[in-house]
Amino acid sequence: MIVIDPASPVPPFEQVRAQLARQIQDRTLAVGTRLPTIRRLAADLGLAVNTVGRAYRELEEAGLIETRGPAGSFVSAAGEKARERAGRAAADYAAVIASVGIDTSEAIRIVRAALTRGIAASPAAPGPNEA
Amino acid sequence: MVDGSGNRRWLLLVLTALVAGLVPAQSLLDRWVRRVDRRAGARLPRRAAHPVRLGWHTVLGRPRAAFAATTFAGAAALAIGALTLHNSTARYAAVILLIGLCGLAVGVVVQLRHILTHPVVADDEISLTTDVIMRVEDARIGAVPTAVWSVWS
Repeated sequence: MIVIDPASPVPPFEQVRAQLARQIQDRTLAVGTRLPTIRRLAADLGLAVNTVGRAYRELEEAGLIETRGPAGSFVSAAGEKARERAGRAAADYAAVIASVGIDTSEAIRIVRAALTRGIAASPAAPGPNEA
Repeated sequence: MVDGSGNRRWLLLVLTALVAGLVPAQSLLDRWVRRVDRRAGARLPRRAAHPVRLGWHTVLGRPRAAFAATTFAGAAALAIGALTLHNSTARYAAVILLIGLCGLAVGVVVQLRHILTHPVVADDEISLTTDVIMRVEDARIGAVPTAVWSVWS
């Protein structure tokens, strides 16, 4: 369900974008799910077409949805693949942590520090292979 | 004989005009309902909508759609078959049936289109669920070809 609160300080396009992004990320909207057309969602939510169009455009730029021409907009598999890749990397990291005998809280602290520095964002980060 | 044929032609024209007029009338009525819905939606403090597109196969269901399409097609085939008869009264009745069937088919399509596309007016999950249930019921009742059965009986 998408709810738009006109009294909210958050702009309506951001409310639409954030709610759709959250539902895609927590898999409420599965990969391949067909989203309503921009015009249809705008009519349902009482918003301007441009407002919903902007939300869809930003979701598309983030790789969460894809537009297949006249067939409409669908939840993209790109986000799912990225999540699977991150899961595999986490499993590798967990194996390294277990092999060197670092405790869980320390391991989490290391990851948090790496995320803060942006190191984890690098696809070439070879953490587990270096150990 | 010529007068009777002329009368029949006029009656067919009147029937065609009546059927052709009913479809835009239904379309205008649907448009009015959508306008009233839009006004009601504008008064809501917040708006809710489905993030998933409800297709005709979700709302109506493939078996019901196939049943309705088959009934219409079968009725049309029977009427067209009757057109090949030598009996002019039977042919006249077949033409009337065909005009009626065309009108009914277009009417059902217009009604289903309205049910599937008219905007949701909801502000929470309960009203959204109610909207879906009502759409499903309306679509399934609207697609039952009772009018075709009535025409043939």
